[in-house]
Amino acid sequence: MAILKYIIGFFIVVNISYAYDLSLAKKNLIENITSVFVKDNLKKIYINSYFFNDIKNSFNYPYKIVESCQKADICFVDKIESKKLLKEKIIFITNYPGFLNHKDGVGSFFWQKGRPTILIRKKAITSRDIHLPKSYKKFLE
Amino acid sequence: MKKKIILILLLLSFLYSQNISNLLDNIYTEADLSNQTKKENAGYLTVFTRADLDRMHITSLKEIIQLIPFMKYDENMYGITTPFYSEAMPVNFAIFRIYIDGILVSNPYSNNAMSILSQIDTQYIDHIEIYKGLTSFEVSDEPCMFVIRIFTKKGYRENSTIAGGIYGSYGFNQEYVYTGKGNEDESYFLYVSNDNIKRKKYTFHNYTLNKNKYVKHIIARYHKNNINIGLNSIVGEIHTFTGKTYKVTPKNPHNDIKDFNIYMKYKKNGYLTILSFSQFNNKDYENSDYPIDRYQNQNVYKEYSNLNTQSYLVSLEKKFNFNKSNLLLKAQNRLNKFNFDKLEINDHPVTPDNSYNKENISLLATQYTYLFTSRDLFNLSYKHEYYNEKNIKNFTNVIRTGYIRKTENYISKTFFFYGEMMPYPYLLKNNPQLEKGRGNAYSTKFKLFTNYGYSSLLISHFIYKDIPFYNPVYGKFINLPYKSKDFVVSMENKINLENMDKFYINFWYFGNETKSHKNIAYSSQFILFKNLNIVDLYTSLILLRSENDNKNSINWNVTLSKNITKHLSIYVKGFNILKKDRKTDYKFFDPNTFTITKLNDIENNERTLFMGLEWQF
Repeated sequence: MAILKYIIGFFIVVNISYAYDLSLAKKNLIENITSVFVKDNLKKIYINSYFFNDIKNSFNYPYKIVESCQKADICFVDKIESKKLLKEKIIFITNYPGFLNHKDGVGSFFWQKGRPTILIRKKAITSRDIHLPKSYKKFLE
Repeated sequence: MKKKIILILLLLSFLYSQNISNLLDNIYTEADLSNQTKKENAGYLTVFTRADLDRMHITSLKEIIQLIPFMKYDENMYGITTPFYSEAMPVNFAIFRIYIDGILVSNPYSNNAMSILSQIDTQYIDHIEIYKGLTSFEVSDEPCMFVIRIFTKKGYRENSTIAGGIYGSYGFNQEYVYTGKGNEDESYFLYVSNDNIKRKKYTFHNYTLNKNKYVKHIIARYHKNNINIGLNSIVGEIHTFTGKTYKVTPKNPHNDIKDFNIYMKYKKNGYLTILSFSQFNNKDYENSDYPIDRYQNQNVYKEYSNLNTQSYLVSLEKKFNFNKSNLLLKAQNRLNKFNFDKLEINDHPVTPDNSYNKENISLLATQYTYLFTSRDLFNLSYKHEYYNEKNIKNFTNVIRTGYIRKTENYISKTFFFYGEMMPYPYLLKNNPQLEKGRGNAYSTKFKLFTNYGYSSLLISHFIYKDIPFYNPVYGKFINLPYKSKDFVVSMENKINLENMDKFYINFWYFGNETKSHKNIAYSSQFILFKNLNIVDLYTSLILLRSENDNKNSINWNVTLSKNITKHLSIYVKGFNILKKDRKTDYKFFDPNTFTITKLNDIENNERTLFMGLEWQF
């Protein structure tokens, strides 16, 4: 029993003292969203976003950064380069006004009331036959 | 069995850290805007982040002031915050400087921002940085010992419209609306608040004393690429408790204030240019049954003054980055005008003395930072200010040097400081012969990062000379003819709990010594942020002992908050729940009869219950 307490104590300390930095936090978020929306083994990501641009070089297999949204499975962008892509690709718009202006975007990452949040359009994922894990359901719009 | 347990725990740990909500929480913590604004080399820093403030639900800056080491929360006879200990200091000595988005808040006549900002609404604030000790010109152009840097919410971080209200004991109410929208390239933020800060009223020999404040507050921000434009405005009525008095016989003394500031910042190629204009108007109404002053051998019962001040600021700074060092250069000019447009004594107009109504201050400053190794940093700064007026030609110098060592396990900082401070116009008008004050300080801090959080120890020693203080025998301010010494120690311990919960245990000691007396105070603070699932809890317990006035105080505050729906959040807050926070004893000297009137046990923080709600559109 004493050993169990020790292990639990160790687990709590390890968990608590695990220090994140911002780049790692951003990278983990992008990877998490990508793994939910892209089922291919190699997951091709396009990033053109003020908030996420600095982590472009930090991804390893199975995640690969590509140079255009057209070549990607999922795109994280501030601005929509082509409306056609909105319907063909899984696009996360990384600012709130952009998300409001483009009703065909699948999802959005933005800040609201000082907190980062994501929104996912139910209609867009239904039409693409994407099934979300339980933890994502509260972000459905 | 043990292996299985370890595996399950590791799996749970992995799943926990990979949960989308936790990933967003990590970004929330790491992308806090204070990471972009705080200047670790500029002094000893405490930050109240957006996450902290969202959980604390402070109703005014006084809650923050109480958490700053070496501070007490007292209010003077006008009901204005006076948080410092040294007895020799005049009532509104510029100990604190408050900056909002890098722009100094004060009227240039009395240099006191506390009279306006310390007790009013705070919902426009994103985060607060507090720099302790004699700080670098990087965070405060003007000399001071504590700098409170307030940063407003950013439109691109809000993307919503919020309406809220706070309702409390004694009829206290604040209503506010703010809206912000945009992205990092272009955004706006607009905030409007209506404060009815009603507080406990006291009756003294049939005279009613009150510290109520009725204020309307507007903040507007717009930024596009390299340009930031801001506007701040406060209009209101401030009841000044006893007002000017010899025997506590006031008849509704109050100030009507109008404070306005507009500024523009332009940043390009490492250059930062700031243009700012501020205007402050104070109509001071004094009225009493018993004389409050003497004027041309007559007793004064009623006094009205109308003070207008303007401040014009132009500032240019540039940071040059080299291989292992950087050089910051700054040039600035401040033109301050202060004019009494009207003065009435006993309802008769008199000609105000506006012979000294302008000061022009030119500032040149430089700071050199050298990185010996990736862990060791040396810092040297020098600031020169030149006061050029027909009545006052003077200059001040400030030299500051520091050594900072930062490793993965600890940070140590050591600073030496020598500085001179010009008396502000209110004092010089009272006594043009006042000399500039001088101070030097040595301070060191060691902060050790541990598995559970951090522990830190700060030790500091200040010596001041020639500081101005009010001498009732002469009826004017004079330079203190002997040294004043402070010795302060502060210990801070932070314990990280699960998720974003945390617990602080802090202790501090303050000792001030002059030739005539000693003043000692010490305090313990216990602060807990804890999510209880049903509600979020913030609680602080502040124990304070002040030897000088032989007072013990306990201030226990609790905030419980909950998001009811995606749009509606509520909170309940108890402030000074035990009703044992500091009380102030006032003494009033009547030069006509040479008697003293005492007004004792006036609460600085009444026991107050607040209820707040916010609706997100």
